[in-house]
Amino acid sequence: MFRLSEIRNLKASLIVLRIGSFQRTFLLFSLGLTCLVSILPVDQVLANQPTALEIMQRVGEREDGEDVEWDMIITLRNRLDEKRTRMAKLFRKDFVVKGEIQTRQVTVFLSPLNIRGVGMLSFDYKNDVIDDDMWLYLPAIKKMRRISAAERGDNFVGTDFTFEDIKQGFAVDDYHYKFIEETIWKAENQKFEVYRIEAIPKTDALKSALGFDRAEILVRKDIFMRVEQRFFDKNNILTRINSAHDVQKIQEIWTAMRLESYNILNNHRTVLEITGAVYNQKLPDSLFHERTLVSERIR
Amino acid sequence: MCNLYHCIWKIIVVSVILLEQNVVWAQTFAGDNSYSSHFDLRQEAALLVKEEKLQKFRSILLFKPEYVFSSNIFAKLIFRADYDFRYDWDENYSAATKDQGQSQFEVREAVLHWSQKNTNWIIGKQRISWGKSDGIRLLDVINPLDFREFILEDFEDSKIPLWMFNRTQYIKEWSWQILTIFDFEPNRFAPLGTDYYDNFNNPAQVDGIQEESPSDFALRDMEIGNQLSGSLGGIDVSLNHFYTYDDNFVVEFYPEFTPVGVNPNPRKIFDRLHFVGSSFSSTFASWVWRGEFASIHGRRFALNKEELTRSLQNEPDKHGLSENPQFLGLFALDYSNNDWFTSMQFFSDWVTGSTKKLRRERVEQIVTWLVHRDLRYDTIRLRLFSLYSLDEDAWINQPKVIYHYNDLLAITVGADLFSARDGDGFFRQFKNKNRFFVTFRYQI
Repeated sequence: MFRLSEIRNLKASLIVLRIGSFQRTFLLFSLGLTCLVSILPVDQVLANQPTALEIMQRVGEREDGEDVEWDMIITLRNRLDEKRTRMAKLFRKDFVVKGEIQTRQVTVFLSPLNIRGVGMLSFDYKNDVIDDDMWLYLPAIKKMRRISAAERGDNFVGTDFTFEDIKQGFAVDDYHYKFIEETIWKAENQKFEVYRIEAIPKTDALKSALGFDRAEILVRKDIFMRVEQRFFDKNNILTRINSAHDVQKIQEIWTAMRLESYNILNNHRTVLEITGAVYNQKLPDSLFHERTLVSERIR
Repeated sequence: MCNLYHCIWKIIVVSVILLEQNVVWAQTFAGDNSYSSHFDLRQEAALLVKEEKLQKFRSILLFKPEYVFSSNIFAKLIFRADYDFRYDWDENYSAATKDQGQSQFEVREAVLHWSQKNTNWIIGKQRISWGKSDGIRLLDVINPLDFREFILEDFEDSKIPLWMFNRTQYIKEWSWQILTIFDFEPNRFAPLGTDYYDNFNNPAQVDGIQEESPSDFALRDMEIGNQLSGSLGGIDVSLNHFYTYDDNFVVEFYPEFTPVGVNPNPRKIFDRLHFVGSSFSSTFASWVWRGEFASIHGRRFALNKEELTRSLQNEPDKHGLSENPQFLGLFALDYSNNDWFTSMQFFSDWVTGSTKKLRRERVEQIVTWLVHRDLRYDTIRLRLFSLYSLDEDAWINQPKVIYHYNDLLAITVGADLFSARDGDGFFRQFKNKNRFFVTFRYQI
């Protein structure tokens, strides 16, 4: 069976026999190109840009060091512009356990006193079959509390960031993606070329656990860093915006030194500033253990 | 004992001196090493509903200096002083009750913490938490408890610290904690004549009788705990063993038969126990399931009145007690979503062997329910903890609201409500002790 376009190409080749050599060469080239275009899928020809999934895979694979230590100041501002400040430390390290890669992270609050010692330990498995593991340490009762996957979208210790945000790692396989556009993102008097990607959690259970039905993610084209995420609820109402600012190269690793989470519904904002970042210092494995939090050894 | 105005004055003076010293020390130790110290001031008041009288008006001061020598060595101290002004206002208390219950000064923590690559040492006076349960102690038995307020205080506040070596060795995904405990402290009961005097575990008849306590810092009386914890197939597990002394005494009888009758010659003894147990927790969809179980060997139980007389006559070498193996189990389910948290626990305590002759029931079962919700970015917490004893048909309900006015000041308002049938029992004895309370907590 011939498609209509192929029959037209056949007719054109018969016309070629009756015209001069220059025109014949030109027409043959055109004919060949037309044949090629008609055989290959259109998107492969046009697609110089990666797909939405490829972009998000690049985000997930972005170099972030084998281990990292961050000192952080977290500032909460309510709608009356009243301010609360927390200091915290974060440690993250990549592990290989039984051939599988996993990222472990410890986050501990150092001040104020009413939350001092509160900490989170998370094991982020790259294998999407297993749910990530999370534990919360509460010094008031000196116990670790296991956190279910359903709590990933809950606020982390009174901030606008969720447990999922604090976990830092990006679970690429949890979403369906759609490429929206290439655009310009303006921040700190600078303009950046970004991809706008739509991410929809794959299941209703994931939507419920993460606390949103749809997200629009802006990814910087040059370094594949998520610089903005807009979260929408089931009525497609924008509820929260996370953004990354003051991106610096530290030990050859791109690091957003200021992260913001803005809750639109109640006009509450959390700013996480990184005051110190050290990568690849070979942190001991024992740091990423529940006993580290229970013994309150991180000061 | 001082009068009210003297005491307020003393607390203010001590606070000012400590605050001033705090600044001086902070300046002295400025440099690579760091010194810091904090205060935790609490004012607690409780009102008994039925009697319409103030049950407590207690001021608590905690002073927490800390010195960090390097990134892996630090020392930490916690001093606690408390004073209940109610004893000054109520003339019904005897001098002895006042002496025991009005004020307390103790070192809550004095530790040197040292961590190496795969080893962690904490040496000194400290509190340990084992297990996965909330509001019920099953594996969490390392430290004895202060029952001045029955079980209404948080365990971490009522735990009595002990001097020990606490070493944790990390072995790949597992950790092995070894505790070597040097001193012995029994559970502290509320003084006779106070509202939460425990007539069930510490009957007035045994008050003042001879007590044989294990020796402090004696090799033969050391307590040793081992906990191996890690993950098996995604389930957090721990295996625990604790070679300990029972924190509650038993009364042994050494009857002397005289021409005028029998002298029971009682002695308070603390039994040596082997405590073997395990804990587990994991997630399933939106749920967290967790549990603990333990087996206790070496514990002896009091006999009921009829059996006691028979036993003393026929089996004098048992001293009026019966040794029975004991098994404890707890299973719990937690659910959390959108800042709501709810949890159900079922706890069971079995004594095996011949149990008809015992003073306690063969099986004692408790169900608990905890629900809390955090509001306004964790500045307000609504919390309800309920405990129901199936055997005694007795409830304890503890609703409370915690409001964090700012990062320094928290105000808690709540109630402790008891509901029970009449009769003798661990929970029933406080049937009419419902109370409302308010606590102001200032941390700086």
